Amino acid sequence: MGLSLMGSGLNLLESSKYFGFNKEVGILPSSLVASAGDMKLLKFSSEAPSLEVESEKPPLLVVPSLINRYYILDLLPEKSFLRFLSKSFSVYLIDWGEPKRGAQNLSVESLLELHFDLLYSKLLAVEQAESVHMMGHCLGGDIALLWSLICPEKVKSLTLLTTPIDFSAEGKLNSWAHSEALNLQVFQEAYGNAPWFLMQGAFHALRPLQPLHKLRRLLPQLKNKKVMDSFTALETWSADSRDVLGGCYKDLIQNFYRENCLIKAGFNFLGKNYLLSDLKVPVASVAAEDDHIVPFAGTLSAEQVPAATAFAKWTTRGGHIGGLLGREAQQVCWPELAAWIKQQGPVNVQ
Amino acid sequence: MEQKLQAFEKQLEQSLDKLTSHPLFLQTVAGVINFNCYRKIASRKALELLWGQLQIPLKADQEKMMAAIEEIQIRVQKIQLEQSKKVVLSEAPSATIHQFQAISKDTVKSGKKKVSSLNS
Repeated sequence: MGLSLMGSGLNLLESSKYFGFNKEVGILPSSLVASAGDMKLLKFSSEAPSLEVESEKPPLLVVPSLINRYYILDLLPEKSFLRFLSKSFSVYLIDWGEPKRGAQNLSVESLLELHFDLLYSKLLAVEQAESVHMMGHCLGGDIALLWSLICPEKVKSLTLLTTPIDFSAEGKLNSWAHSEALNLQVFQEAYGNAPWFLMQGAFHALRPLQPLHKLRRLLPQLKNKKVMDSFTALETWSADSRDVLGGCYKDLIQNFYRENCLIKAGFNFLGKNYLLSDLKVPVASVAAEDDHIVPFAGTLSAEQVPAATAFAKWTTRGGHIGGLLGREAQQVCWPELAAWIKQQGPVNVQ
Repeated sequence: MEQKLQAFEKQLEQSLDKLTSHPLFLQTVAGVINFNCYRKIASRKALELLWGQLQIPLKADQEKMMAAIEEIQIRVQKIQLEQSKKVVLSEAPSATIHQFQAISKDTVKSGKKKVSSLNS
């Protein structure tokens, strides 16, 4: 039933094409700075009038989620978080790319040690800086957090956008991942990289009746081009998933979800253990109240990072995406967040 | 009518939530996925055996090789970056040393001149 409803949602998306609704997404221009395997470091240029001289903008590295495409942060011109950030910052972003089958054994540890480290070093070299501001979205926030634990001297500040920290928090996705019945080793051996269709199916199954709710909300708005454009853009992004590196997927489910390593034993990187309580950089967190993917209780709280030099938290109304890109977030959270990052001081120049 | 529909939807959603969170349901789904994984592995291994007997290189091996080359490339690039940093760092003091040497040479020369003028 869930699948048929999911299908109806996708059909709706397909048919919306013929009505001429906008499907252009992720249109903020970017240039390639460096690449490491499938991963790319992109620099976004500011189209909107800048608040500062281009060369004086502090660098900010955005680490998007490992699962979906990064352009959720640049969905439409009026809903583009990257566009907003580019007014005040020199915005860089890591595009995870399309993982190749040969790289299926790449774990989170080796991803950080090789690909991430190379791109980060190139960013520092390009900006001639010793540290940059970092921002992570969803699971990308966990990667950014680990990097901040490993190299605090290279991170000026850390912002986590709807990032799961405590994976024991009550939620359907957490309970599914905690179920030990799925043999991860066999799963990786069979599929290599975690296939997008399985993950997308799981996300749709979290709220099986959602397509029906969407349809009902949408029908009275069919003539409203703005609403339809927004809907089509979001559905385009939602249907455009990517595979996740097999090793990373295994790590995420085993170490993060099942063992809750960030809260309990810590993350092991090249033989050294890193604990969340040792995080020293200024950290900010944005959490959505009705998030069904990352439960509010599972996001970062001040008590978890006693060593952080500064802590700030924003709670927004809405779900995993709406809470971050909705009108309320745009009007209140985005400007405050940008101001908070600026408050953490200029980056150290080499 | 709409209220009834909403109530029905809510009930249905709750029931589906219960069902999809039930351990038995999760075990069954995981069992199906696990079975499918074993089936995939078995069929792939059988094909690998067949290709191996024909002594034809496998696509998977080539992909692994490419990934290994990529890893080496990344490591080389990292070393290059570190080396370039070291060069930049070592250039700064050496420039100062050259300047110091030039100044000291001038001083020695002028000192010698002074001494020679004194002698004369």
